[in-house]
Amino acid sequence: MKNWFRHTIYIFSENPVSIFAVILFLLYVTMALVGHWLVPYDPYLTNTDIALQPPSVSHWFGTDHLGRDVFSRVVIATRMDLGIAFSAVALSALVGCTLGSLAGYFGGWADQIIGRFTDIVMAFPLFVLAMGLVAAMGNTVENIIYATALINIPFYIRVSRSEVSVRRNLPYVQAALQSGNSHFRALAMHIFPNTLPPLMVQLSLNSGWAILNAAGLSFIGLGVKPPEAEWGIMVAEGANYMISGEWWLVLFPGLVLMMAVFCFNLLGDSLRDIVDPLRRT
Amino acid sequence: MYKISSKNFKGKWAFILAAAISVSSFVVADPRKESLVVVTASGPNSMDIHRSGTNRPSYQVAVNMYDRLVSFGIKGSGDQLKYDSNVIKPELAASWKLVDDGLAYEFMLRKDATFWDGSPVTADDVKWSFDRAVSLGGFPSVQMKAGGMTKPEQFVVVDKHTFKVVMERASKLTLPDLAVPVPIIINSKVAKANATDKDPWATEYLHKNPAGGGAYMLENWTPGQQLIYKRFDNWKSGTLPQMKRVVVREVPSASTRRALVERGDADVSLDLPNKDAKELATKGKLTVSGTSIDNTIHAVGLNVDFGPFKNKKVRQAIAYAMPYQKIFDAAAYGRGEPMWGGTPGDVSATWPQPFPYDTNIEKAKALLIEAGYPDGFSVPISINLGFAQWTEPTAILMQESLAKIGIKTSINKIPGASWRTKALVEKGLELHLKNFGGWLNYPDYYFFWAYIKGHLFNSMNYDNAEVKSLVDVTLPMAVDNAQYEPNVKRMISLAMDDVPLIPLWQPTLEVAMQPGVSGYVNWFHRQLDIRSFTKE
Amino acid sequence: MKNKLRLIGQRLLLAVPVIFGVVVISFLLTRALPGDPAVYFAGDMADEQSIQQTREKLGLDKSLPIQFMAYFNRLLEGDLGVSLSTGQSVLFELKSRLPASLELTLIGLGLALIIAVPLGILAAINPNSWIDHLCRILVTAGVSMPIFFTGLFLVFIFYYLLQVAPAPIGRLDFLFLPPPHVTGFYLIDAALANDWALFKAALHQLMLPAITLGIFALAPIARMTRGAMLVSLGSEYVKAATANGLPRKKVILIYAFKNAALPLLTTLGMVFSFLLGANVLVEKVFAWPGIGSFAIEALVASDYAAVQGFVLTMAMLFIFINLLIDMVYTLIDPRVGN
Repeated sequence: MKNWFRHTIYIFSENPVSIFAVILFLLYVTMALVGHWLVPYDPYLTNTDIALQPPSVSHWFGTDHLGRDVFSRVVIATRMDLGIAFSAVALSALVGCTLGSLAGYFGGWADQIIGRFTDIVMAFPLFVLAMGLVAAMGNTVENIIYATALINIPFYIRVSRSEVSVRRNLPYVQAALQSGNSHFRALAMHIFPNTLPPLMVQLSLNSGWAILNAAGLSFIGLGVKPPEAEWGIMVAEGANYMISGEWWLVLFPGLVLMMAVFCFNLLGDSLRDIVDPLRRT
Repeated sequence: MYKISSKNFKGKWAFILAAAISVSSFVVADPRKESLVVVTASGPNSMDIHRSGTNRPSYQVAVNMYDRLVSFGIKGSGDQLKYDSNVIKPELAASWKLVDDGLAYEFMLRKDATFWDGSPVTADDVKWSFDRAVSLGGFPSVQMKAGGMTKPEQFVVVDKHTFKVVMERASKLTLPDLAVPVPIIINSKVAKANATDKDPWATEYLHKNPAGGGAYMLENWTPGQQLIYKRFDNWKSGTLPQMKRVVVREVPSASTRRALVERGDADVSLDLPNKDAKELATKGKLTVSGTSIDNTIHAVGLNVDFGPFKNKKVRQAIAYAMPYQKIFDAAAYGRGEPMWGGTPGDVSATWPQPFPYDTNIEKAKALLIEAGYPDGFSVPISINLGFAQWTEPTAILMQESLAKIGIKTSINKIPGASWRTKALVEKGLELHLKNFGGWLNYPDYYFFWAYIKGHLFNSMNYDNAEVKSLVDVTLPMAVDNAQYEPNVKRMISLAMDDVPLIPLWQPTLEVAMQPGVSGYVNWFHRQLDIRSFTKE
Repeated sequence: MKNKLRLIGQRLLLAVPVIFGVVVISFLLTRALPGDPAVYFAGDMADEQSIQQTREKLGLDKSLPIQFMAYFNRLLEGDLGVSLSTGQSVLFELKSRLPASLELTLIGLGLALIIAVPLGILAAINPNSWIDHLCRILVTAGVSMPIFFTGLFLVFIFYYLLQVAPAPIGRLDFLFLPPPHVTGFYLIDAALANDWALFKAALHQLMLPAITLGIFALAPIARMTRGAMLVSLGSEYVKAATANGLPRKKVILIYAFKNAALPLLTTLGMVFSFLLGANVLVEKVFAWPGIGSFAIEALVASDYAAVQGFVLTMAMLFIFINLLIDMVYTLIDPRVGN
């Protein structure tokens, strides 16, 4: 454990970018947790008299077409976006790892069926599948989470399957089985924890993905319902105002969204370095 | 081979890329002076207005490529040209008269009109086309019915250039109904040559191959992309248009359309969002024409089948709770006619007209308490995603305001395709936003469609026996009839009091044009009539 | 070789249940879409009766399994139905739009390769230097922005402000008519017809959307190149080659890169699939008449035949591409099958 910790410090010290990513991540999580109490204005309060005003001292990010404060909306959107991302990723990791572990451990029919299921899901362009699901089920936040979770499941199936099948025949697992542990116990208690590190990488990368996914859905009109604040929908709507000169509507949510995804991507990269230096990409 | 010198490496590639882009942007010699380039949000999905499933943008084909017997006149001047619902002028029919005690119209067709293939237009073609319109069913037949035309027997060929329309009862709507896009005159010889036993009306053929005698012919149609018109130089049914070639291009993104017209790459941009129209008008470089759309209102519908809305006081409470000015500013950007703040008791026989409600939260609260809902209730607001530009800000502002009187709402965005089913067929949306507009500019026509139980645009399920009988009597009645005005005033008063429909504002149709371009006419069908365009 | 052929055969066989699964899912998905196609087909102002008649005519009143059988049978005949929103047969739409999307995606992929592969190699040669970090930041930034935002931003800067890029109105400017149809790829068709002005015009319109897609593809390609290069640079045979005095350039490009190419190939397949999905958003921004924009309109309009056709086509394309890559991999990689 101590070695692992030292190893982590070493990786980070070699890589200042990773430190930056971690700090950013913590910042976002903090914003998501306490943002609602710290914002200067009610993010839902409209005031058409001051609509579409550029950034100023009283409104740092300006106001939108209904006179709402953009800064407040961007901050509280953090909770919505991170919420969607983490829920979706957690859900798909849960389902995907279970299925993948079963496939990798038991092999045979389980493996074949789960393999085909994965192939089928992966055969659809991911975003298109998400689009179709949300259109069919309705654009509630829950459905967006489910759709995003579904399209990410194959990744977890693949990763956990390969990790589990590699470890399955290792001596320590055989020992655990012989000392009376059931298959499931062996799988859950002995094998699975060791498969976590590569999974962390996926979790991080997929979180960034989930946010972009939600943004894409908003762009085609399938995003969260108004008046909810979500980065993607603010960028999608704000994009229409670029030509007419109200640049602040798209720039600030866009930057914040980009930094969040950026941070998740970098984190994923760094975690990959920590996990397996031989496979550094 | 790659030069692995890290210094100029990336710069080199960036430069090459930029050079490639700029080099390829040389200017091509411009035959654009002879053509007009129009950009719209969506294009036609058929060349045949009588076909089922034909979308609204397809109506432009009926307007530009086919003639009708008559058309409406044009009023206004400069860039505020609009169709005149009070003037019927000749198109294919050079003149007409009322015969048979006012129960039939006899039209004398012009003798020099020909179809694109040179063959003369005769009354037989008119009869075949009108028979088709009433026989194919769906929207065209319903529209013909509005003018009292339902059976092929009503259409009589008197001689080669005389055509008679027989009515079952005299109606002021028959003649105007002949000027709408639906009763087009098709080249029946060409159509019949391409008909089959299974398809006697040649719907397969006419779907992609228009066969008409209108001012413009089809040069090229790429569905989903563009439609190119070319002028029919032998058109006789009106003044020959100036533009020889008109390209109508589909560009779904509103901001791209704005960029195109600002940069000069497009001559005309149709159906601008109000915000763009306001800003472009202020900037002054482009001509922006924004005239109100007749007989149309953006309104709130209250479904009387929904519990709380059964009570008139609840409906009135909501009418008092609407933040009218805020909505007008944020959704209409001040363009249009406000439809609130009328003087109570002061009713005229025009439609639309401002209703006697204003934003008054106190009064709204009091009415709700009177109605027995001191704690309010919950209801979803349903809006049409296809019109999100005005429905979304309106819904958000409504939501905020209704919360003040205790009505909790959530906003449901319903995609265009399902809207029709949910709002108009099932009529199950409790609180919704609507934008119906009647083609024939009479209040009784609007009421027929929107206030009679069971009729398509009555998404509120409103049922009032008095209104119904008034509409039944008034619809065919001539405007100069002594009973007409009092009936209409009474209808409107009832609508104001019962308020199942809360008018917000009368919208405008906004068009932006390059400085040398003029001749845009605002038509009730909201599609582009390219026959009047001129360009310097 | 026989082993390899057998492996390929096995893979083909495995694809069959997947294809069937895809067909079932695309059927179910579109039946789950909101909206009633019968209402749409019955037309404006239809009443209950004519809607019911239309429903029967379309076969929508039958049970789901029966509808599926009918759908499947029509599929085998090549009948994908008619699109409500464009009025054309779905097959026709797909045939004309697929080349548009493919052309765009391939050019975008090409552009990404030209930039990302050298970047990846560069980063691998100088691991952990500032070059490495810069590469990582740049490519990651590219993939961190919503793709429609990148597209709109490029349009805003290069078309609206700087006026060096053409109007984002699709594959060709107003003045040009498409080349005579051979492949559907305007660049190829224009070249075949010897119409170089048209070629230039088509290329001109392709640039901005292709760059948008390319920016998005930089990251996975660069990352994979870097990773694969690092592995092969650290391998025994490269060390041997260097020890034997071979020139550095030759070692890198020929020995190391050739072996890095295999994993890169697999990534390419994944990136291509990825881009086809992202196409949907890019096409909306640039008014590109490809299957992506077709899909969005169809989805929002509940144009069920069009959505079915689209989803099916995309899935088939994926399966085909993955099969292709699998086969190429099997054939090339000497370690497989022996």
